[in-house]
Amino acid sequence: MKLGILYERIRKDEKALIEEAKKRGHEIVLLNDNEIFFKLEKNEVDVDIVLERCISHSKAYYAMKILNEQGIPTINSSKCADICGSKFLVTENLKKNNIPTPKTIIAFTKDAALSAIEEMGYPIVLKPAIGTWGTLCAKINDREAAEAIIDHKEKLGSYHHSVYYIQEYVNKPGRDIRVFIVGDTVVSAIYRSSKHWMTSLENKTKITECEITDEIKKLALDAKDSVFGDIIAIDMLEKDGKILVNEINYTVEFSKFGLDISKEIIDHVEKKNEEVSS
Amino acid sequence: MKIGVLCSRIRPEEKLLFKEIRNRGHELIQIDTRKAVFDLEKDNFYETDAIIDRSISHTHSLYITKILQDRNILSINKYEVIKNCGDKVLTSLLLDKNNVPTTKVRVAFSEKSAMKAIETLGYPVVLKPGVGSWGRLISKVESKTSAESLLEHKAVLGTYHHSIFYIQEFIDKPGRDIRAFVIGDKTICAIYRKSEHWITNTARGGEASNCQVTPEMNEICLNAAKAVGGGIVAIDLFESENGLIVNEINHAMEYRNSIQTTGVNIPAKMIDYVEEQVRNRK
Repeated sequence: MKLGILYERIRKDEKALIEEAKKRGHEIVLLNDNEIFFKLEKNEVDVDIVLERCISHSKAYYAMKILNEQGIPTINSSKCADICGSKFLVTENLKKNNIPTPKTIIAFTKDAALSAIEEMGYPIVLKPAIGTWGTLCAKINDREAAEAIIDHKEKLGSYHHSVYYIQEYVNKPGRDIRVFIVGDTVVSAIYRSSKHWMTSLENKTKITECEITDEIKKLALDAKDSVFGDIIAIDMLEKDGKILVNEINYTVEFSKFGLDISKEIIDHVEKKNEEVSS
Repeated sequence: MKIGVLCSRIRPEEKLLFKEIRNRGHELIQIDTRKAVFDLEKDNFYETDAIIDRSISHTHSLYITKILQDRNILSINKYEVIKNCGDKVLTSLLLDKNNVPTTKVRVAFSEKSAMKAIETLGYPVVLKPGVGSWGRLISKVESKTSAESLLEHKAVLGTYHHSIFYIQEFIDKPGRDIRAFVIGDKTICAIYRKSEHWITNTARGGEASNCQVTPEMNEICLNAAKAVGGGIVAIDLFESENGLIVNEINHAMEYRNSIQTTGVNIPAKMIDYVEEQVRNRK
């Protein structure tokens, strides 16, 4: 097949994926999201399917949305990227499908946010509704901190800061779980342990293997279906012996966790390509 | 029936809607987005038969209509329509996909590729933020030097949506454009917006006069409305050498300057539509 790779930088993951696809005789078309531009009236990207490996969510989403509307399938789909790019939409979809996830409140102004936080009770976590790698997430322990952070958010004033995504703080046992899913298979799960409350902060995290229990497997596959995902990574939190789905990522990074799932990914791309071309 | 109106600042448009709702004996429920708080665990927020979105913040409209629609409340417009109209890339993409005549558009994600796209389209071009309204931050680019300087400024502004470059061919219109109002499956009226400035938006001083809805215009408008999901929308059209073409679609339009001009009671038509949608649902 003619496989388009939509990317910004060729990192270790992308190298492994390209190598694997080439080994199987597929033709690779590199689509750098900073180099290409799209004609909306006519598709000019000559590929069978596109595997998305961007860094910027907005670039990934718009590129895939244009490709999908013009008849080119992508992995993941633009529909999945649209949902996973927004913590709010992920939470909505999880709740709709009765998948356990932390309590979440949405507000739009400083006063409304403050009263919502007070009602929920401290500590809480305030997150930008759009964003990755834990950027600008804040754990807030008391009213004074809440006021200060909300003031700052208001002054930042950008488009997405006018939405307050307020989440209950889950007192997890010093670790979270990241589960990797390709198609209908849970391919791996890891614990990320850290003394920092944000266990995903890369330089502070210790990674160990996590057993894929039936509970994790079921939650992971249900969560994947709820966001229409193909290849995704799900972050889970342990709360009082129960597992909650926290966030879902649609551009799955793997080598930095010591994993190589490039074979599974290319298998899935081949399968998807056969499905859509038949 | 109980009709909720999602709003923040109350403009003349909202006042007219409130009056129309009350005059018909419906119960009006004002939902101030500034005070709204949504605990996503809850299944129910307002006892209404429908809500009309009149929020001036596109972001707030999106979140709230999504939350309410997910909980089975009839939202006018629908979340999908607000999403498609509030985002110029999505609007143009859907117009093209549904063969509605529209301008040529290029989308790029960096200064460098935007420059390439502009050069292949040829000057002048129009550069717009992917999300935005009232003609703000729209620039007409006449030459390579102004393109370079504009792109650099946009890149430095650096917010989320500025890395999405929406590049549109410039249409040399006859000093005016057309705004047509579509409600359901009817184009109820239209106005010309005349201005010495190339941006003819009445919010920017464009002058309004009545425009006859021709069968050609009606067909294009209904197809355009359908492409973004239908409902209550305002379609901006250009008169080009090749006939009428659609420029943009608005999902929560202002209409205070259009009632007198067209002689059509727009808020009354809006409430007619809301009543019909509620009845159809029951």
